[in-house]
Amino acid sequence: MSGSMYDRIIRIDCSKNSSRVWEVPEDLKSYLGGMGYGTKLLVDEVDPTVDALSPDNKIILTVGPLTGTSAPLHAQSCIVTKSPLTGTILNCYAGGFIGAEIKYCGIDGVIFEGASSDWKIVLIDNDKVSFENADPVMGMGTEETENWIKNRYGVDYKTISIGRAGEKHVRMAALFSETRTYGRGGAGAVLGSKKIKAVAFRGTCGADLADVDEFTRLVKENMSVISDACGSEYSLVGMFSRFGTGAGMALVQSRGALATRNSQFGSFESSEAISGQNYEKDFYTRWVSCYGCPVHCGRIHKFSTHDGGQSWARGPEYETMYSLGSQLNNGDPDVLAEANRLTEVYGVDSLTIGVTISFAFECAEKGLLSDPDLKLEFGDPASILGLIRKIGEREGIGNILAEGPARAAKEIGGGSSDFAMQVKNSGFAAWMPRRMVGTGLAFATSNRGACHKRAPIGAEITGQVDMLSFVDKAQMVKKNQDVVNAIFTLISCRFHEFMTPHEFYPDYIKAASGISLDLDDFYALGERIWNLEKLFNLGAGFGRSDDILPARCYNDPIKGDSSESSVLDYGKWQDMLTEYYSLRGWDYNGIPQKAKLDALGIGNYFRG
Amino acid sequence: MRLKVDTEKCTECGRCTTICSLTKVGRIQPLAARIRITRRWPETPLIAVCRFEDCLGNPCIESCPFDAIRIINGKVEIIEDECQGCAECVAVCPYGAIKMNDQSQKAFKCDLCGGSPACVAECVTGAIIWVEEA
Repeated sequence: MSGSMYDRIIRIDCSKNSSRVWEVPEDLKSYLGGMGYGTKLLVDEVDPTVDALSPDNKIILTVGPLTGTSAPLHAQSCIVTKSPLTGTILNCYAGGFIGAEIKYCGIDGVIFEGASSDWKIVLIDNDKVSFENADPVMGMGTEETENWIKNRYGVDYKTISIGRAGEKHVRMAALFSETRTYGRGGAGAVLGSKKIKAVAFRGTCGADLADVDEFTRLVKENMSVISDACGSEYSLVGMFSRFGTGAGMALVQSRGALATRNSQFGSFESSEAISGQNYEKDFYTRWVSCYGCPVHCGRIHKFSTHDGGQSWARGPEYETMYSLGSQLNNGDPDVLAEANRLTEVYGVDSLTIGVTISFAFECAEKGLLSDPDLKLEFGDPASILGLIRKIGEREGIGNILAEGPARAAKEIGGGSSDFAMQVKNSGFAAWMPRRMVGTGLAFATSNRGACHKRAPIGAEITGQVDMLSFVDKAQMVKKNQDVVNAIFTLISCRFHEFMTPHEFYPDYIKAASGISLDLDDFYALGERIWNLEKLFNLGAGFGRSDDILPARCYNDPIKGDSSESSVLDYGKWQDMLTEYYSLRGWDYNGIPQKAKLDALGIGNYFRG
Repeated sequence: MRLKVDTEKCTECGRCTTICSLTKVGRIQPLAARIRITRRWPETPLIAVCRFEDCLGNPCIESCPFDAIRIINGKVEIIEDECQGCAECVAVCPYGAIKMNDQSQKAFKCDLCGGSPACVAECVTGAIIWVEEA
């Protein structure tokens, strides 16, 4: 090799406990890596109609051309699989140090196929793979599992593991790596269905660069851009650098966009108590970073547990301050930190589980749901912590809720689907479509269910654009989706693109991997990936009627004093969706047209 | 001039190790870095790097049976050609700053980049600084 890609992927056949090194074919290389590799491979190799928890599904774990290099904010690795939560194609990401270690194994990724007959830990030493008996770690939480592996096999291993939720196929189960989470969409249940409890990597290969001098120059320039942003009082990322991702709480609250009590309200009286600033002030705090990141938005806090003990956790992060905080009417920062920690122990997505719990609490208020042990009341610590445990164990009502908010609503009935705050069964991220129309469109049209990563959140929340307007939002969302898909091939942290001019990306790619493309090619790659995902979802049975928000967004005015908006106008919403499809080169039903696919170089995927 | 580390300020990002390996071996390979960060969550990390002036008695010099570790231009250096790979120095270093190269079986450690340490320039929080006095 002469650049940062090794052009080798390990294929692991879980059924046979065997592996082989697979050379990356030429046609895949134009997808650069990360999400590009994962999407193309899943679309080519997995039938969209398969049961996500069957051996026919695959997990594709990849890194990109900037992973493991000195480029700042490129710690992330990507998982693509079919989601058991949404039934759509899924991409999810974790930072930390796992991405770099995968690269150092001299590979660009790992594909897990089939399913093992008994539980295994997979050890990957450079390109040597072994399958170890997982019995000693079964039932353990994610951190406990990771510590056990490091003690048993060596502290140099970087680990990915599932908790009890993944073992029990909870549909919102996540994968964890040293507190960093491949959170959305239930990838943890997919690994569980393959009976893989954990995967550990240890690599000695390092990372090469196609042009060391040019790459070093780019990194220096990029570091200077980031340093300016972090030093700026008004930069969002600068605020994250100083107070963690919870720094924006006051801004969201002031805009009446802080989803509270299952999105009934748009502001939360205790928002300050659970803000990043408050954790920084009142709790033991250490700043920590993902691999190579100068922003250090991570925070380790020590906190008191409900039973009078002491514990610590990394986080909570902003999205969790919403899902296990305001959305549950939980203004106690200790309870929030403990709930966050518990999601790590069980190994679940703190977003979807929070939204599912808030849904359950409202069901209980309306007399649709009860529990023999828990009051199921907003703000009640025992109910919050108890439901996380019951969902993680699939115990009692937890077994219904473990299916995700939309599936649970179907089971519970009584019109509860109207206030299950989800799209395609994936819980809302921390934003209110009734307050932020573009973000709502992004939730509805996301290929992985209610997703914030590709939403115009910054533009709307900071008032660069009118948050309540429908004008130009379709164009804005399309652009966001394409750009973010493009940078997720590298794999950039979402915050990188907040600060770094896009002109950097082609230069970075050339200097790292040696691949030449211009910025328009790069955007087009993002769009190509978006269309491949869409085709997969159409094949899985999704259509226009699925690109919709729950009825609450169109019918229920936001309560409380802070929000001048009432509801989303359904007619305008449908017009905006039609405009969005049209901008994408899709027909009224959201089906990509031949001309568009041809223009993107994927005409062969057209299915009339 | 000397290196000074402040573990309270370290965010464990590892940019020091990344840039050290790029400087010393021409590629990114934290295992080959002359500095090492060991995580101890929730507490502060260990930062292992040769501390020259702060090191009492430079026990690595005494420990080497082959006299391959000497003071040159006022700095302790491991003479790679003369190192026989016994790893005695690794065991005695009070800062855990000497490592063995698995391939060559030679000991290696920080040489301060000749007076302009690359890691210092890369550390954004000031956890490693280059100062006149202790």
